[in-house]
Amino acid sequence: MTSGLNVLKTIKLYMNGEFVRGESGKYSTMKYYNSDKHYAHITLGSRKDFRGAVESSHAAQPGWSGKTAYNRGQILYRMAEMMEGKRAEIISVLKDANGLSEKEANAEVDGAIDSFVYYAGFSDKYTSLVDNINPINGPFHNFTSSEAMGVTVLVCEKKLNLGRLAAQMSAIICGGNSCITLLSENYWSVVASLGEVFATSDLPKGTINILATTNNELLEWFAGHMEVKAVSFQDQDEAAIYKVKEWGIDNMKRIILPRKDTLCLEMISDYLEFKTSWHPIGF
Amino acid sequence: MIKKISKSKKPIKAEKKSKGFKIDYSPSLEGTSIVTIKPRNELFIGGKFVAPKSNKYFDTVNPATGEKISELALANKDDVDSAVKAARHAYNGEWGKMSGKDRGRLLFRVARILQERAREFAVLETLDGGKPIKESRDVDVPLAAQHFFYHAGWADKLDYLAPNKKVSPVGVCGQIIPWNFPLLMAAWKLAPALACGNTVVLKPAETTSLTALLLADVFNEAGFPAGVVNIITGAGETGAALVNHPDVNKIAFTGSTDVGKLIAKSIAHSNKKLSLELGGKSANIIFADAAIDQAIEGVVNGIYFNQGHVCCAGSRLLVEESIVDEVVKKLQRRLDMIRVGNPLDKNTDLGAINSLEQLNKIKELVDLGKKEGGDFYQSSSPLPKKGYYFAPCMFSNVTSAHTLNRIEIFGPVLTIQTFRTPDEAITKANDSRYGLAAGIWSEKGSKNLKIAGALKAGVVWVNTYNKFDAASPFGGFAESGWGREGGRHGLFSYLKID
Repeated sequence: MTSGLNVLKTIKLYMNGEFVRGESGKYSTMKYYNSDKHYAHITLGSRKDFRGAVESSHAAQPGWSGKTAYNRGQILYRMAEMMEGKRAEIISVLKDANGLSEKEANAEVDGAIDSFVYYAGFSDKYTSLVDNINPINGPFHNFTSSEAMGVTVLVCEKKLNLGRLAAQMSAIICGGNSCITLLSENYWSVVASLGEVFATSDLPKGTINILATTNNELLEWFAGHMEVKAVSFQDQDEAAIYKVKEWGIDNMKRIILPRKDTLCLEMISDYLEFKTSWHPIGF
Repeated sequence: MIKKISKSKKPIKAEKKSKGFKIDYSPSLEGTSIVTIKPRNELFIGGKFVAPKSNKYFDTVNPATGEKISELALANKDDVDSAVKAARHAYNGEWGKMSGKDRGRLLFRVARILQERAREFAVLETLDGGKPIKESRDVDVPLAAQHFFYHAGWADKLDYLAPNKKVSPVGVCGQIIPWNFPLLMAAWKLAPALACGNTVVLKPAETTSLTALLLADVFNEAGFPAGVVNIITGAGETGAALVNHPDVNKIAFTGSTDVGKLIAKSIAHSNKKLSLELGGKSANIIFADAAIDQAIEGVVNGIYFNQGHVCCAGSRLLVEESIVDEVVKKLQRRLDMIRVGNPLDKNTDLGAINSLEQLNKIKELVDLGKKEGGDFYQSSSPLPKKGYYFAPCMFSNVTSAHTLNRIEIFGPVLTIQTFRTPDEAITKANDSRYGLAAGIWSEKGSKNLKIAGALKAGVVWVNTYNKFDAASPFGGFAESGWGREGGRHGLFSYLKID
């Protein structure tokens, strides 16, 4: 005999491959869209959680960037598969908490799946397009090869757009970076579902960490963290961009600003370092 | 290509002294009559040399003698504004409408004129900056010409850089260059910017502006429209006025990390594009399986080339422990064979330190290094009585925490540490806030590829060092900067891609 009562999902942070409550105990209450009815409590990440995420992200770096491009592609494709499997759940969440219609919610999921597949197919190709053998004026084999920047923080845009979010996350990890994603209010409803997609995609722990945050609360801490090598700042708030640029100067962070087109080669090369090696040719 | 400073065809008569050798050779001075240095130099704005609105001038000296050789106009805020206006006018006018093909034609002309006037530029570069004539003649000027030739060909092929995207110039670029490779850095900055269709206001370093001003003459000879290239002289305040000018779309800076950070901070609250080529503390790693004598030459070229005034200098030598005694002994012997002296002498290996200020900085840091410990060794080469000179030196047996292992000296000072395993070499090499360059010396190919992949540096020289080429991207990881210069990758700093 069933009780008739649903089991509600606790929405936690996705950190180091696990679903955890934030250390600070901070949370926010979410309601059903346009209603006072309680939907869920959302765990909010603190400064200390962020530092933990950086540690985990840093530890994940060599393993993730060291995987073959083919392997990274398969894991990205697996994300699309897992997302497809959670379609009904995510649509229901987007309808209940974000007020989207069935059609709109479907389009969001489609967008995310398209992005995962697009970058799954790019991981073993982009180096053919951005790396180079350089024609040097002398007897040297000289080539420029790309590599990951390292720990990258992704600050999502305020407006919900799962396709763009998935594209940004995929592009960052496609090139071998690890990604700490800071999700603002419109994305809180999908924090758990997204975490579950990544947790079941054979993605090494720490490659993606997800923290729900309130508006720019962690700005100074991620922009100033010396182990963070790049910040993808997708929020259009100009004042916040300027602050991030300023706070990131200490370790010369690479600050990457939004692109109109999120499915393109430049999305990957934005997060790459280029190394040029010289080798003499001769006996 | 870089000529190894060790390879002199002249026989060296050496007399063993208690410490090192006394070098005895006949001078072979390059004549200076090919160059006419004006007693006073004006600003190059809108295609003409004009007096500064500031009405102020400052002296520029020959570091080889310490004597004044000319006066340079001091550009103030109003002068910077005039230069930016001229650049904007050209951008909105003739230059902006010119086809890539024609921009390329003009740049090809610049390359050719530079080759034709090569000796004149080389002598002026040496007189103004103190670098040995054989370096300005064989490295700086030919590479500068190659840079214009290489980028000239890109001007009508930019669409190939980003398929399916629209590429367009950034606009007016403010470019600030350092004193270590004055002409070459001007070429590194100007050639890609112009190939991509931008206009430029260039500020050379205050101690080495003369070849940039001579280059202005080349642009006029080549027939560039007025205002496409503007060259303003001055020190930090002039640079700051350029950086902060509201109508500049992009800043490109080569110089110290500290100044690079100041620039980044001052324009953080704007949408100006910024590329930075900053400092370094590059590791040069010798494994026991290296061709040792070849490696020694590479180390010498790595740190003593251009008096060590090289951002990518191999200033931190890492030697596998089992061969450190042999390497140190050979380096000491080699150090004593480096001829320090008149930069115009074709035999000179190590010329004058660029300025008194830099000489004092090097002396202070070496004194600090001595206090911190390590085994100090300095060449016994005699130094000229006049001018700014510093004998090449090295500190062996130092730790990673030694100040001289942490900060950029920009002088002929080498530090030497040891390691036992490849992993330790990688860890020590990457133990720096910089990430500009690195060197590896080993005869084992697979090891070289593995180590090169693990080093956090934008340029890795394997069994060679300090090689440069217009087609080879240059630039650093981490605090060594943003963006690349040269090659296909360097062009992206001067383009918008939509």
